[in-house]
Amino acid sequence: MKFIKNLGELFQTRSDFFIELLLQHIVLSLIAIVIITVVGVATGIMISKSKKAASVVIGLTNVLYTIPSIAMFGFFVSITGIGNTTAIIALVIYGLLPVIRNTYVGLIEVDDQILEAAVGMGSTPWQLLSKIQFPLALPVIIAGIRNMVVMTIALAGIASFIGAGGLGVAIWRGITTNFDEMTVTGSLLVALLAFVADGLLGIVEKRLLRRTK
Amino acid sequence: MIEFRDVSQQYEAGKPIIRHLSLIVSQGEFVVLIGPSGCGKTTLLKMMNGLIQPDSGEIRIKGKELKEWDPITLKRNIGYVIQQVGLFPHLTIEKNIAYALDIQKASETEKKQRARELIQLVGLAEDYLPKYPNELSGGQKQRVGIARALAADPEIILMDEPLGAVDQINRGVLQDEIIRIYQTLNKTIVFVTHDIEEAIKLGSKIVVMNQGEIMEVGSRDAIVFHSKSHFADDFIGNKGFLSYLNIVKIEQVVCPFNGSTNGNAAEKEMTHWVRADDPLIVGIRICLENGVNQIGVRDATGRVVGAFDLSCLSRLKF
Repeated sequence: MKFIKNLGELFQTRSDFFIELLLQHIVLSLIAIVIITVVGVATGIMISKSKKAASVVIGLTNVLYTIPSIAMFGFFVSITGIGNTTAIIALVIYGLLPVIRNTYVGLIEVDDQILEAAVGMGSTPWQLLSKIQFPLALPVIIAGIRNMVVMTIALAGIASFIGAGGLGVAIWRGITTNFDEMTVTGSLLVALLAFVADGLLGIVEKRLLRRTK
Repeated sequence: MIEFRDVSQQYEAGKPIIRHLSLIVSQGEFVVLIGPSGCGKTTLLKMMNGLIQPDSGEIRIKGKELKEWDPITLKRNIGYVIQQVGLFPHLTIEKNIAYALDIQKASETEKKQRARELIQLVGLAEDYLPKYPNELSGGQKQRVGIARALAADPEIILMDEPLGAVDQINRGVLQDEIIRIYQTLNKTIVFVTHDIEEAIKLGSKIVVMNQGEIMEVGSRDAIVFHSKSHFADDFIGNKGFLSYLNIVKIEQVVCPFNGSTNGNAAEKEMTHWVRADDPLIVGIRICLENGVNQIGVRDATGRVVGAFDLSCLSRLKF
């Protein structure tokens, strides 16, 4: 009980500090999320044209995904130094897998009969993609993005280990100074942010599902 | 309209799906392609809008060689209906119907108006326009499928077993609708089916296929009564004959009353009657059921138009 009270007090007295870290965290995650979404969806669309390319690209992202995050951050520090840029690069590499895979699966799983009807009616390849395939794959793609957003927000907490901003700073400081309330408040804010972002995307997903059920 | 000359096609070496096939589809014909599964009828149909390219031979659509057509333009000039309907689940019925216009960048008002016209043409209420495909029954979906194929007003419409997944009752109704649409719009239709009754009912020209070859081409009468190939004979057989009796109407064979010197007296002796627009099979049934040789025929308004007996059948002109 006392611990929870301490948490509340800490947050109140240091609210400027936490809000600034929260904003940094949001900006850091958001930049990574936007890059991942654009690159991931584009890659997913490109590899949907060729099974061979798909297995290569998805295999590769799978391998990258298995590298421990600390190792990944550390590796990039030796190339791009410490700071936000390195953090974003590592976050992007991690987040690509679910988006690429879901985009690819969503696109290739559109019913053949529907595609044949659209092609048989004279759709150009671009029309087939933009008017039929992509809208039908959208729920699956959104599910992948949702997955990635939660993951990226959580992972961004580790980014402060390599000198990036965000709530990881609070967590890191709490750990190194043996200040548990600090660590827990930072962690709770990360969790809260992920929870809210997931909820918002869930609403978007539901809207789309209602239309395409 | 559509001309195949010595066309062959195989997916795998040594397994030809179409063998040296030649066929002419003229303007305004309702051609039915029929045969057992794997006979190549669907492949043949898909060659007509360029979905499948032949390995050899020549295909001409509206006088122009298939290779000279821009593949997209060709498909836009030909309506296409498939078995599983393939409606776009994320689009409303209105947008589904107008899809062919949409990809050709027609105006919003044109699309709206055309969707409204077509949904009525296929016998559905305008209330369905804002609905989504999953809110419709199988038969309704197929009506929308047909409306969608008509949207860009193509001269040729290809139908690949469009009623394959529709139940028996709706099937009959939809067949009648297709005939009505064919007659009102004066389109050229090529229709694939494996249902003999459907073929006999719909086709103005019936093409019997087997193993990638055409076994026989002819009118309904020719196919049912004068088939020249064993295969067509076996395949169409009595089933075809029965459906023939179900389709040809009494009015096509009405003859004068027996003892025609005194028609009035003969007319008064008639104990049983049949309507002129009933099929032959109804007349034959009435004769058999009641043990009479001849029955009277009245038209829809009740006016006496003549008599029917088995000897009248010789009036069928093949």
